[in-house]
Amino acid sequence: MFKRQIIVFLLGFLAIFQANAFNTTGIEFPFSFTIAAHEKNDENAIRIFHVQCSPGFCSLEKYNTGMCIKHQDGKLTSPIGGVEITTNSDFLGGELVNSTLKLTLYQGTHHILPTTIIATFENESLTKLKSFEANEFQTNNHIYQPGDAFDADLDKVEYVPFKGNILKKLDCPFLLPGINQ
Amino acid sequence: MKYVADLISCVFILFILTCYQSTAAPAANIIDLPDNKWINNKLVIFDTRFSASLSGDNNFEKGIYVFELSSRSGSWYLTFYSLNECNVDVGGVNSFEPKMVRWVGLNRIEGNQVEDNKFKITVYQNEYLQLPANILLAFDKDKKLQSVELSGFVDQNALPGRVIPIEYKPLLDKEYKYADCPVLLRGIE
Repeated sequence: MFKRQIIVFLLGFLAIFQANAFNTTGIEFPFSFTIAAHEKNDENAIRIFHVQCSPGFCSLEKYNTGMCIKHQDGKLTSPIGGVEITTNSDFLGGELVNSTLKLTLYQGTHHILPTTIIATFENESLTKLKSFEANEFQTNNHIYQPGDAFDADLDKVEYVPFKGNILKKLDCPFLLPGINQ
Repeated sequence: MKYVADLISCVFILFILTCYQSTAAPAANIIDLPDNKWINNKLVIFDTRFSASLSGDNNFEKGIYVFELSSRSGSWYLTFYSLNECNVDVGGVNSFEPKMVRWVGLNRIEGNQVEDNKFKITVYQNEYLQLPANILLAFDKDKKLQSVELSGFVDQNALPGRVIPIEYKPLLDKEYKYADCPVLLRGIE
């Protein structure tokens, strides 16, 4: 009697599984890394990338720092902001082959504006990065949704990782928003 | 009759898919932020942002904390930034690493409008609805944030191993603050 319903249920769950099966492959244990990189043509346009992966899941945080941005009141300030994208959304996919993690990030819905991050580790324990490449990123952190104004000519940037650990003094203050803004 | 059962099955699957999608919403920066609005004498908030220090640390010397709260189509999102925590020793020099924690989706964040102009946001700082923290927000008639109460937060750096309660004090008026130490940029060694 319930055979038909069971088949419909199974097809539904299969659809859920298949819709996300491509998101991560080859990741068998948890690992994470943090790497700072700057725009190829601007050493002050710094992004800190933080990647966390576990079987079936990856998240990518991209935090902005280093720049001075003019606020509405004319003062230069250090930005406070970043973006986090996970493979639970349809915007990020991860694939680990040997010691190389390839993250594919779509900067808009319907898999538009793809960009890739390729992180290669020194060994299969995935504890130390050997190289990091991030290309074709849009200069803003925006993830385009249907209806957003779309600028096809927006500049795309490549991020170059820093060599060694760097201590950078920020040139501008943070603007801390208060309750009475 | 059997088609009714099929229909119920399909509706159930669609419900599951909808729930799944709501947890899978991307964390995205929005370029054009809509303003908070009064609709039918009830306030609808889209975005609000405020800073806080550790209680007793009036100069933000132990850390700068920024809460960024937004609501879209009934879903709530909270991004928590921590800066200026100058406790990473690199070659004898203190530095900080900017960090962000984002709460989004089912079992992570809940929002309720408790009065026309008041909202209670609850975030769960650990899995399985553990470690709830509350944010009570009140807005004035001009849709501006009037007061913020924060409770139940724990040190995000210590999780999941240790639970260290933290009391935050929201900042009243905007303030410019230079970092007290350099930012640590981890490169390829």
